[in-house]
Amino acid sequence: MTGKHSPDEWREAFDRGVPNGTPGGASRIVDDSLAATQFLTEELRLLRQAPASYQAQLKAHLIARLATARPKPWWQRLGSGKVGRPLFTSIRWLANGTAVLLLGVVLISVVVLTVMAASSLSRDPRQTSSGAFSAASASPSAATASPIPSPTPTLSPGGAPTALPANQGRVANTEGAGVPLRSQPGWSSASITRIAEGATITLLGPKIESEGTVWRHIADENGNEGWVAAQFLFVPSESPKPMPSPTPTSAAGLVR
Amino acid sequence: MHPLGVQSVGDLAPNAELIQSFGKLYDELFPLIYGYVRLRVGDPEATQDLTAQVFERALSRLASVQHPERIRAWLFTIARNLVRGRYRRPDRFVGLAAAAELKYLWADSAETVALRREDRRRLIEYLARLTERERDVIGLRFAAGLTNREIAQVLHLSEANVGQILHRAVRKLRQQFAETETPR
Repeated sequence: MTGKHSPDEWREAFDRGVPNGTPGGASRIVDDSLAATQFLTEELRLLRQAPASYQAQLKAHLIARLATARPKPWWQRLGSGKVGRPLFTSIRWLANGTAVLLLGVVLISVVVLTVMAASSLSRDPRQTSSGAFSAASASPSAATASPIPSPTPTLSPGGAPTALPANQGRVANTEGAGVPLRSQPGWSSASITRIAEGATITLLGPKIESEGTVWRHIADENGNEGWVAAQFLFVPSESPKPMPSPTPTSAAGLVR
Repeated sequence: MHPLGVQSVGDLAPNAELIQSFGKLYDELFPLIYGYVRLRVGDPEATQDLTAQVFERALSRLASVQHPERIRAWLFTIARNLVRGRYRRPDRFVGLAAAAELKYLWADSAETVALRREDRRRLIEYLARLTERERDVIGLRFAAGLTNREIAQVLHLSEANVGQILHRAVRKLRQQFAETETPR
């Protein structure tokens, strides 16, 4: 079966019912090319006449369709909406490409951030301000990496640290340097004295946040009262519970 | 400017103005499309079927018209594709067989003089012997009344080429009229 219809098929459809008449006077067409064109123009123009009812019905149908048409939502119109500009095809591609690119960037950064956060938590708890807390409380194995020579509280179950009263704790995470006892909660505040690593301290009040750090009001073994950054304290009575609210610096550190 | 006076697809929301301009476009182009399809297909029923399809398709694509000044050529391209597609379908004879009571090809015209009828019968005969392309050009030129430039746009030919094909087709028809004329 060919793509075209054969002349016979076409003539059959076209010729149906046209009666035989008397031989026509077509000689004028033969003699005169202008007459031939005129003949074709006149005769074939008549083919345009469709049944009036059909023409009106189709029009009504189309207009009804047009009247119930809804404009496409904006995302389908992206780039293809304007009339008369072939340029818009490329803009459409541009828009699609940008969307895909953005999605990819977001996905990649999420993965990278997750990996970074995980590694910074497990590798070295003392590098981030809150790492000590969360690592010490969440994963005891992390504490084994600590090079502190003195036994850390979590390492010695049944030892002295667990025997501490609820309102006492120890100085920790200072790598043996000890921690300054400050007169006010704040890094710039004057230092009263220095408390050695591992020294027992007594808690005098709840946690207070200042300058992006959590501070504790404490007294040392000699009775000096002052403030110490909470990250350098280990309080057994609080350590099993996770930190209720991570400090802003730790949150920022995680995201960055 | 879009033929319907809209700027974008979003503007194709139904409103009285839009419907009116579509009605105008339809009134102008319906007879031309019908004439062309009629010449290409022959069968009146199939012609009505196809003409409706042409406008349906045009309506759904109206928003994406890229060259509003070529709206006629655009519409005839749709018509031509549908006509060609019809002959590719396996059920292409259904329309012919179902059309049991066909009206005469020119039955709607007032002039039914026997003399003219004979001329027409022969014209049909000779038109059938033309190639598909020649019949396309004849249909677009005489049944639809397009200009050579518009025909060139529809058929993707040059204007000069269209003129040549047209000339050759008309000469063929005249020759055939001449051949059957002389023996009688």
